[in-house]
Amino acid sequence: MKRDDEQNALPPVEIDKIIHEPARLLIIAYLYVVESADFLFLMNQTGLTKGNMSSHLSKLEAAGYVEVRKEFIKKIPRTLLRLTERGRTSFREYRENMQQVFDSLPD
Amino acid sequence: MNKHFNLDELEKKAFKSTYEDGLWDIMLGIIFLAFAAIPILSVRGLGDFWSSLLILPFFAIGYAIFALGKGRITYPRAGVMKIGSQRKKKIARIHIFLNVFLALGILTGFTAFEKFRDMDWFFPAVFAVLILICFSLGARYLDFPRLGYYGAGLTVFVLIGEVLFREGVVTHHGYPLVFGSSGFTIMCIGVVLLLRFMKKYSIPGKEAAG
Repeated sequence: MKRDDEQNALPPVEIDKIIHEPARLLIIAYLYVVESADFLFLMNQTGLTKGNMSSHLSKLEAAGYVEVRKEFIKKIPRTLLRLTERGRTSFREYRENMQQVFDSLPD
Repeated sequence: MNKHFNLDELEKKAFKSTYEDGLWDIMLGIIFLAFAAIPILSVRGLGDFWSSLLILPFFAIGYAIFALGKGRITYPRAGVMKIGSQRKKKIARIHIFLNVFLALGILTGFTAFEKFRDMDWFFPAVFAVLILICFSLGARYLDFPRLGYYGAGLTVFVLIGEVLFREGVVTHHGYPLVFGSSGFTIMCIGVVLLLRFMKKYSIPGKEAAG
Protein backbone atom coordinates (compact mmCIF):
# COMPACT_ATOMS: atom_id res chain seq x y z
CA MET A 1 0.00 0.00 0.00
CA LYS A 2 2.79 2.37 0.98
CA ARG A 3 4.64 1.54 -2.26
CA ASP A 4 1.50 2.44 -4.26
CA ASP A 5 1.36 5.81 -2.51
CA GLU A 6 5.00 6.44 -3.33
CA GLN A 7 4.42 5.58 -6.96
CA ASN A 8 1.37 7.87 -7.07
CA ALA A 9 3.50 10.64 -5.63
CA LEU A 10 5.90 10.42 -8.57
CA PRO A 11 5.23 12.89 -11.33
CA PRO A 12 3.26 11.40 -14.23
CA VAL A 13 5.86 12.64 -16.70
CA GLU A 14 9.17 11.22 -17.76
CA ILE A 15 12.18 13.43 -17.13
CA ASP A 16 15.06 13.05 -19.58
CA LYS A 17 17.98 12.18 -17.30
CA ILE A 18 20.57 13.07 -19.95
CA ILE A 19 19.35 16.66 -19.99
CA HIS A 20 18.43 16.80 -16.29
CA GLU A 21 22.05 16.86 -15.08
CA PRO A 22 22.81 20.56 -14.23
CA ALA A 23 26.01 20.94 -16.29
CA ARG A 24 24.46 19.27 -19.34
CA LEU A 25 21.31 21.33 -18.89
CA LEU A 26 23.43 24.49 -19.00
CA ILE A 27 25.32 23.32 -22.11
CA ILE A 28 22.14 22.34 -23.91
CA ALA A 29 20.42 25.59 -22.87
CA TYR A 30 23.25 27.64 -24.38
CA LEU A 31 23.20 25.61 -27.57
CA TYR A 32 19.42 26.00 -27.71
CA VAL A 33 19.59 29.81 -27.82
CA VAL A 34 22.44 30.10 -30.34
CA GLU A 35 22.79 28.61 -33.80
CA SER A 36 26.18 27.07 -33.02
CA ALA A 37 29.16 27.70 -30.77
CA ASP A 38 32.64 26.35 -30.41
CA PHE A 39 34.04 24.45 -27.44
CA LEU A 40 35.99 27.43 -26.12
CA PHE A 41 32.99 29.77 -26.20
CA LEU A 42 30.83 27.30 -24.30
CA MET A 43 33.59 26.64 -21.80
CA ASN A 44 33.94 30.38 -21.09
CA GLN A 45 30.19 30.94 -20.88
CA THR A 46 29.37 27.97 -18.67
CA GLY A 47 32.46 28.15 -16.47
CA LEU A 48 32.98 24.40 -16.82
CA THR A 49 36.46 22.90 -17.02
CA LYS A 50 37.73 21.31 -20.21
CA GLY A 51 37.47 17.80 -18.81
CA ASN A 52 33.94 18.36 -17.55
CA MET A 53 32.83 19.84 -20.84
CA SER A 54 34.34 16.98 -22.84
CA SER A 55 32.70 14.32 -20.72
CA HIS A 56 29.25 15.96 -20.81
CA LEU A 57 29.51 16.65 -24.52
CA SER A 58 30.37 13.02 -25.19
CA LYS A 59 27.16 11.98 -23.43
CA LEU A 60 25.11 14.54 -25.31
CA GLU A 61 26.68 13.47 -28.59
CA ALA A 62 26.07 9.79 -27.82
CA ALA A 63 22.41 10.59 -27.14
CA GLY A 64 22.22 12.29 -30.52
CA TYR A 65 21.46 15.68 -28.98
CA VAL A 66 24.61 17.51 -30.03
CA GLU A 67 26.45 17.48 -33.33
CA VAL A 68 30.21 17.81 -32.91
CA ARG A 69 32.30 18.93 -35.86
CA LYS A 70 36.05 19.30 -35.72
CA GLU A 71 37.88 21.63 -38.06
CA PHE A 72 41.20 23.37 -38.39
CA ILE A 73 41.43 27.13 -38.80
CA LYS A 74 44.98 28.25 -39.55
CA LYS A 75 46.31 24.98 -38.11
CA ILE A 76 44.44 25.54 -34.85
CA PRO A 77 41.83 22.88 -34.00
CA ARG A 78 38.32 24.10 -33.37
CA THR A 79 35.39 22.03 -32.18
CA LEU A 80 32.07 23.36 -33.41
CA LEU A 81 28.95 22.35 -31.53
CA ARG A 82 25.35 22.49 -32.63
CA LEU A 83 22.13 21.16 -31.16
CA THR A 84 20.57 18.54 -33.41
CA GLU A 85 16.87 18.59 -34.25
CA ARG A 86 16.45 15.69 -31.85
CA GLY A 87 18.27 17.62 -29.14
CA ARG A 88 16.11 20.67 -29.74
CA THR A 89 12.90 18.64 -29.54
CA SER A 90 14.07 16.77 -26.45
CA PHE A 91 14.97 20.03 -24.71
CA ARG A 92 11.54 21.47 -25.51
CA GLU A 93 9.88 18.34 -24.16
CA TYR A 94 12.08 18.47 -21.08
CA ARG A 95 10.99 22.05 -20.40
CA GLU A 96 7.33 21.17 -20.80
CA ASN A 97 7.68 18.12 -18.57
CA MET A 98 9.48 20.06 -15.86
CA GLN A 99 6.82 22.75 -16.08
CA GLN A 100 4.19 20.06 -15.54
CA VAL A 101 6.09 18.74 -12.53
CA PHE A 102 6.27 22.17 -10.94
CA ASP A 103 2.67 22.98 -11.83
CA SER A 104 1.49 19.81 -10.13
CA LEU A 105 3.30 20.69 -6.87
CA PRO A 106 1.07 22.05 -4.09
CA ASP A 107 1.59 25.71 -3.08
CA MET B 1 28.48 27.38 -12.65
CA ASN B 2 25.70 29.75 -13.53
CA LYS B 3 22.69 29.31 -11.28
CA HIS B 4 20.16 30.91 -13.62
CA PHE B 5 18.46 29.02 -16.39
CA ASN B 6 16.43 31.83 -17.85
CA LEU B 7 16.85 31.21 -21.60
CA ASP B 8 16.41 34.86 -22.56
CA GLU B 9 19.10 35.87 -20.09
CA LEU B 10 21.44 33.13 -21.32
CA GLU B 11 20.99 34.29 -24.91
CA LYS B 12 21.51 37.90 -23.90
CA LYS B 13 24.67 36.99 -21.97
CA ALA B 14 26.06 35.04 -24.92
CA PHE B 15 25.24 37.82 -27.37
CA LYS B 16 26.53 40.62 -25.15
CA SER B 17 29.85 38.84 -24.80
CA THR B 18 30.51 39.80 -28.44
CA TYR B 19 30.82 43.46 -27.34
CA GLU B 20 33.13 42.65 -24.45
CA ASP B 21 36.32 43.05 -26.51
CA GLY B 22 35.78 46.77 -27.28
CA LEU B 23 36.35 46.29 -31.03
CA TRP B 24 32.94 47.75 -31.94
CA ASP B 25 33.85 50.83 -29.89
CA ILE B 26 37.19 51.22 -31.67
CA MET B 27 35.51 50.96 -35.08
CA LEU B 28 32.80 53.45 -34.09
CA GLY B 29 35.46 55.85 -32.77
CA ILE B 30 37.36 55.73 -36.06
CA ILE B 31 34.19 56.43 -38.07
CA PHE B 32 33.46 59.41 -35.82
CA LEU B 33 36.98 60.69 -36.49
CA ALA B 34 36.09 60.66 -40.19
CA PHE B 35 33.18 63.02 -39.49
CA ALA B 36 35.66 65.31 -37.73
CA ALA B 37 38.13 65.26 -40.62
CA ILE B 38 35.66 65.76 -43.49
CA PRO B 39 34.63 69.39 -42.76
CA ILE B 40 38.22 70.47 -42.18
CA LEU B 41 39.47 68.94 -45.44
CA SER B 42 36.43 70.24 -47.28
CA VAL B 43 37.57 73.82 -46.91
CA ARG B 44 41.23 73.01 -47.38
CA GLY B 45 40.83 72.60 -51.12
CA LEU B 46 39.36 69.12 -51.34
CA GLY B 47 35.77 70.24 -51.84
CA ASP B 48 32.59 68.71 -50.44
CA PHE B 49 32.43 65.67 -52.72
CA TRP B 50 36.05 64.50 -52.42
CA SER B 51 36.23 65.18 -48.71
CA SER B 52 33.00 63.18 -48.19
CA LEU B 53 34.67 60.24 -49.88
CA LEU B 54 37.21 60.32 -47.07
CA ILE B 55 34.73 58.38 -45.02
CA LEU B 56 35.58 55.30 -47.10
CA PRO B 57 39.23 54.90 -46.01
CA PHE B 58 38.18 55.59 -42.42
CA PHE B 59 35.53 52.86 -42.74
CA ALA B 60 38.10 50.55 -44.29
CA ILE B 61 40.63 51.16 -41.51
CA GLY B 62 37.94 50.72 -38.84
CA TYR B 63 36.66 47.53 -40.41
CA ALA B 64 40.17 46.14 -40.93
CA ILE B 65 41.00 46.69 -37.25
CA PHE B 66 37.67 45.12 -36.29
CA ALA B 67 38.11 42.03 -38.49
CA LEU B 68 41.75 41.54 -37.56
CA GLY B 69 40.98 42.01 -33.87
CA LYS B 70 38.16 39.47 -33.96
CA GLY B 71 40.26 36.94 -35.84
CA ARG B 72 43.54 37.36 -33.99
CA ILE B 73 42.46 38.42 -30.49
CA THR B 74 38.83 37.62 -29.69
CA TYR B 75 38.12 34.25 -31.29
CA PRO B 76 41.30 32.49 -30.13
CA ARG B 77 40.60 33.67 -26.56
CA ALA B 78 36.84 33.64 -26.07
CA GLY B 79 35.67 31.31 -28.82
CA VAL B 80 33.08 31.75 -31.52
CA MET B 81 29.32 31.54 -31.62
CA LYS B 82 26.68 32.12 -34.25
CA ILE B 83 23.57 33.91 -33.09
CA GLY B 84 20.24 32.10 -32.97
CA SER B 85 17.20 32.65 -35.17
CA GLN B 86 15.38 34.89 -32.67
CA ARG B 87 18.34 37.26 -32.45
CA LYS B 88 18.72 37.29 -36.23
CA LYS B 89 15.09 38.37 -36.57
CA LYS B 90 15.56 41.04 -33.91
CA ILE B 91 18.63 42.46 -35.69
CA ALA B 92 16.85 42.37 -39.06
CA ARG B 93 13.92 44.28 -37.55
CA ILE B 94 16.18 47.00 -36.09
CA HIS B 95 18.05 47.30 -39.42
CA ILE B 96 14.82 47.83 -41.32
CA PHE B 97 13.49 50.25 -38.72
CA LEU B 98 16.69 52.32 -38.61
CA ASN B 99 16.94 52.47 -42.40
CA VAL B 100 13.32 53.58 -42.77
CA PHE B 101 13.76 56.05 -39.93
CA LEU B 102 16.92 57.53 -41.45
CA ALA B 103 15.35 57.72 -44.92
CA LEU B 104 12.33 59.52 -43.46
CA GLY B 105 14.64 61.81 -41.49
CA ILE B 106 16.64 62.74 -44.59
CA LEU B 107 13.48 63.20 -46.66
CA THR B 108 11.90 65.39 -44.00
CA GLY B 109 15.13 67.35 -43.75
CA PHE B 110 15.17 68.09 -47.49
CA THR B 111 11.48 68.95 -47.74
CA ALA B 112 11.59 71.11 -44.65
CA PHE B 113 14.79 72.86 -45.68
CA GLU B 114 13.10 75.70 -47.55
CA LYS B 115 10.40 76.14 -44.98
CA PHE B 116 12.63 76.18 -41.92
CA ARG B 117 15.90 77.51 -43.31
CA ASP B 118 15.44 80.75 -41.38
CA MET B 119 14.90 78.92 -38.13
CA ASP B 120 18.46 78.78 -36.83
CA TRP B 121 18.06 75.86 -34.47
CA PHE B 122 15.84 73.63 -36.59
CA PHE B 123 18.52 71.53 -38.28
CA PRO B 124 20.93 71.18 -35.33
CA ALA B 125 17.96 70.16 -33.16
CA VAL B 126 16.69 67.61 -35.70
CA PHE B 127 20.21 66.23 -36.12
CA ALA B 128 20.64 65.89 -32.34
CA VAL B 129 17.26 64.17 -31.96
CA LEU B 130 18.05 61.79 -34.82
CA ILE B 131 21.36 60.84 -33.19
CA LEU B 132 19.66 60.28 -29.84
CA ILE B 133 16.86 58.14 -31.29
CA CYS B 134 19.12 56.02 -33.52
CA PHE B 135 21.66 55.32 -30.79
CA SER B 136 18.97 54.65 -28.17
CA LEU B 137 17.21 52.20 -30.48
CA GLY B 138 20.49 50.51 -31.26
CA ALA B 139 21.32 50.24 -27.56
CA ARG B 140 17.89 48.85 -26.72
CA TYR B 141 17.48 46.34 -29.51
CA LEU B 142 21.10 45.25 -29.82
CA ASP B 143 21.46 44.91 -26.04
CA PHE B 144 24.44 47.26 -26.27
CA PRO B 145 23.90 49.83 -23.45
CA ARG B 146 27.15 51.71 -24.14
CA LEU B 147 25.70 52.77 -27.48
CA GLY B 148 22.95 54.64 -25.62
CA TYR B 149 25.49 56.52 -23.52
CA TYR B 150 27.51 57.37 -26.62
CA GLY B 151 24.36 58.67 -28.30
CA ALA B 152 23.36 60.77 -25.31
CA GLY B 153 26.87 62.22 -25.04
CA LEU B 154 27.06 62.96 -28.74
CA THR B 155 23.64 64.65 -28.70
CA VAL B 156 24.77 66.99 -25.94
CA PHE B 157 28.10 67.64 -27.70
CA VAL B 158 26.36 68.44 -31.02
CA LEU B 159 24.23 71.06 -29.30
CA ILE B 160 27.22 72.48 -27.40
CA GLY B 161 29.19 72.54 -30.67
CA GLU B 162 26.40 74.53 -32.31
CA VAL B 163 26.39 77.04 -29.44
CA LEU B 164 30.18 77.43 -29.68
CA PHE B 165 29.89 77.84 -33.46
CA ARG B 166 27.36 80.64 -33.06
CA GLU B 167 29.62 82.29 -30.50
CA GLY B 168 32.40 82.17 -33.10
CA VAL B 169 34.60 79.95 -30.97
CA VAL B 170 34.67 76.99 -33.40
CA THR B 171 34.14 76.46 -37.13
CA HIS B 172 32.00 73.98 -39.13
CA HIS B 173 29.20 73.87 -36.55
CA GLY B 174 31.75 72.47 -34.14
CA TYR B 175 31.79 69.08 -35.93
CA PRO B 176 35.59 68.67 -35.92
CA LEU B 177 35.62 69.27 -32.18
CA VAL B 178 32.42 67.31 -31.42
CA PHE B 179 33.16 64.24 -33.54
CA GLY B 180 36.91 64.44 -32.96
CA SER B 181 36.63 64.42 -29.18
CA SER B 182 33.77 61.89 -29.17
CA GLY B 183 35.55 59.59 -31.60
CA PHE B 184 38.79 59.78 -29.67
CA THR B 185 37.02 59.13 -26.34
CA ILE B 186 35.04 56.16 -27.74
CA MET B 187 38.20 54.76 -29.30
CA CYS B 188 40.04 55.05 -25.97
CA ILE B 189 37.15 53.27 -24.21
CA GLY B 190 37.44 50.53 -26.83
CA VAL B 191 41.19 50.17 -26.31
CA VAL B 192 40.75 49.95 -22.52
CA LEU B 193 38.03 47.30 -22.98
CA LEU B 194 40.25 45.39 -25.38
CA LEU B 195 43.15 45.40 -22.91
CA ARG B 196 40.80 44.25 -20.12
CA PHE B 197 39.46 41.54 -22.39
CA MET B 198 42.98 40.32 -23.20
CA LYS B 199 43.81 40.28 -19.50
CA LYS B 200 40.63 38.34 -18.67
CA TYR B 201 40.96 35.75 -21.43
CA SER B 202 44.40 34.37 -22.05
CA ILE B 203 45.08 32.33 -25.18
CA PRO B 204 44.40 28.71 -24.26
CA GLY B 205 46.73 25.91 -25.31
CA LYS B 206 45.85 23.92 -28.40
CA GLU B 207 44.14 21.30 -26.27
CA ALA B 208 41.82 23.78 -24.56
CA ALA B 209 40.35 24.68 -27.91
CA GLY B 210 38.62 21.36 -27.71
